[in-house]
Amino acid sequence: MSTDPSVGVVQCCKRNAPEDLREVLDCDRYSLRETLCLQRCGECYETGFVVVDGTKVEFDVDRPRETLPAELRSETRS
Amino acid sequence: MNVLFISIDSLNRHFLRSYRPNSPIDIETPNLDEFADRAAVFDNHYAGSLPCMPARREWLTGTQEFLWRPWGPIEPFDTVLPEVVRSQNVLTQLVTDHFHYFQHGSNGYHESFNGVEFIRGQEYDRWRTSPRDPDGELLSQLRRDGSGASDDLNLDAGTASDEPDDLRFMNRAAYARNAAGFDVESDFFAPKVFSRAANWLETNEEWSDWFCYVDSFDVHEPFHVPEPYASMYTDEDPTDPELPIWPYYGRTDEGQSELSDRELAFIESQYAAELTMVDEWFGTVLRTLDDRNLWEKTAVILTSDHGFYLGENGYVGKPFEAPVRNELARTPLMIWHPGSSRMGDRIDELTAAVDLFATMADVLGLEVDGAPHSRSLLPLLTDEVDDHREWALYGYWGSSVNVTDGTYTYHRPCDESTSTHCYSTTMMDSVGWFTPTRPKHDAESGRFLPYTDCPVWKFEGPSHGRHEEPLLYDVESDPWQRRNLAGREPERSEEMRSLLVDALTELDAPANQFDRLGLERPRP
Repeated sequence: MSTDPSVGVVQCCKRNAPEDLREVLDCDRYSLRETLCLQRCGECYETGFVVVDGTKVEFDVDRPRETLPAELRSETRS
Repeated sequence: MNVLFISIDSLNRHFLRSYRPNSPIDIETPNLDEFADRAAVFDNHYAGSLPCMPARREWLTGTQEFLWRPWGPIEPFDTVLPEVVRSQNVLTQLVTDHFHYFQHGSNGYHESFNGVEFIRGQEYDRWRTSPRDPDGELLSQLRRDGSGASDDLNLDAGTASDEPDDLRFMNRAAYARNAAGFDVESDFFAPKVFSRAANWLETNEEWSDWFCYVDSFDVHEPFHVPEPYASMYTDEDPTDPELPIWPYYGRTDEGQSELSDRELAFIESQYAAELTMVDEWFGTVLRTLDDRNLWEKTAVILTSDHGFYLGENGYVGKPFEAPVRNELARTPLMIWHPGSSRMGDRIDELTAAVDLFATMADVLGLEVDGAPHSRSLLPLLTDEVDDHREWALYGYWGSSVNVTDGTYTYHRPCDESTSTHCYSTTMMDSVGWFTPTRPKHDAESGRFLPYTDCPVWKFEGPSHGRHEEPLLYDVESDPWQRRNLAGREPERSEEMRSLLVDALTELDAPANQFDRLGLERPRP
């Protein structure tokens, strides 16, 4: 996906992503790509989501630290 | 005089034989070639406001909207071409399968036509709701099931697949339901649009003058094409569920838009196939013009709103993160006018999408006030002038602003930390165009627009960068913009920067535009 195979790509819509997504995300393992629109307007209108290496992941935009999958969060990294 | 205005959405000029193609596929378009031979072909024509509906507001109201607002409805102060035309006792007709006219945020474009023939079912059209579980193979091609998805991540409960029964807006399963039962070629969209347009021409001869607008959504994605076209440019099985026909926009080397070489080649083949199908059915309109002896009393204008990246520069679609290069912005324009001495000529003068409003009004003999930015091309076609405009501006609201003088293109990035002001009588969502609007409690009202006394809302939206530094290209010697000259030719770069300031000043663009682009505001 990315030039470094050990780093995944997390895509998010700017308008939809929580302000602290970059802090919550494990940026050593994932490279965040913010864009204006990921053509997922239905999801964007109603919930938080990111796309991880092509896979959509939904979470509560008001509680990313609790609802973003542990695999993606920085504090869970060993 | 009649006007037949034809838009073929997402028509890549660089795929057309009449425009010296720069495509790995030699695409058969005999009818477009024939029309190009008959008409005047404009070699330096540029889009203005992108993407689909902003282009249509340029064509139908003569407003270069992207400096003030994004994708949205007709405004109450707009002068709408079909309304002006019908007020002069000229019949107006729209034939289209362009779903966006009926989508959230796009009202006002079709309502003023005397007649509207709308072919249902394109893209996300909220048309059919059955079968609940549509054809799995087509659905897989539409959603890119499995392609690009990670297989080494355990995303536990957060992973959410794109379920066909998800009732939120813009589920790609809508297309699979709409196309369920498509069997023969005539079931598909371009055949319906152009055959109904031909039928309209045949059955409305009793009207003395008319304006007919044929707006074909094809060659827009999804690239769902029947045989014999689907296999014309590929050795793959076109129904292979592993092969996508509806790519997400973005980089081809990562994320949800990632495509293998095989996938990208297949998508390109299906775009080419769809273009050949469009051409075939466009031919039915040409034959009707022949059979009914309409050429001598009908001006025919053919163009497109924008192009579509198919791997060029490492992108697919019209991504928000990609610079707006000539593949997207330099659009085809061919005009047949029976009174013109330029038919069969190539026209090199710089022209812009917004000019089509004044051109069509001029051809119909209408004097129109209220189209603020449009300049008729008719004097070029009648050889009264040999120059048209010194600059053309183009781009998306909230992003870079691009300018060309016909020889160079200059792409001015925006400062993402400076928001973009949005002006409208509606509280449009400046980013989420396709979903319901919500109140904007931070909006202020006032007479902010230079071309109307009507008060509008003003509110802030994001600025979105596509590149960090200015880009400069010599598109005469480097039409596909491979060599950025911004650092190598500072004097030329400064000239184009000044041209951009002049153009923005002439349009009386908002002061905020100068700020976000890092340009000096004009002196009062």
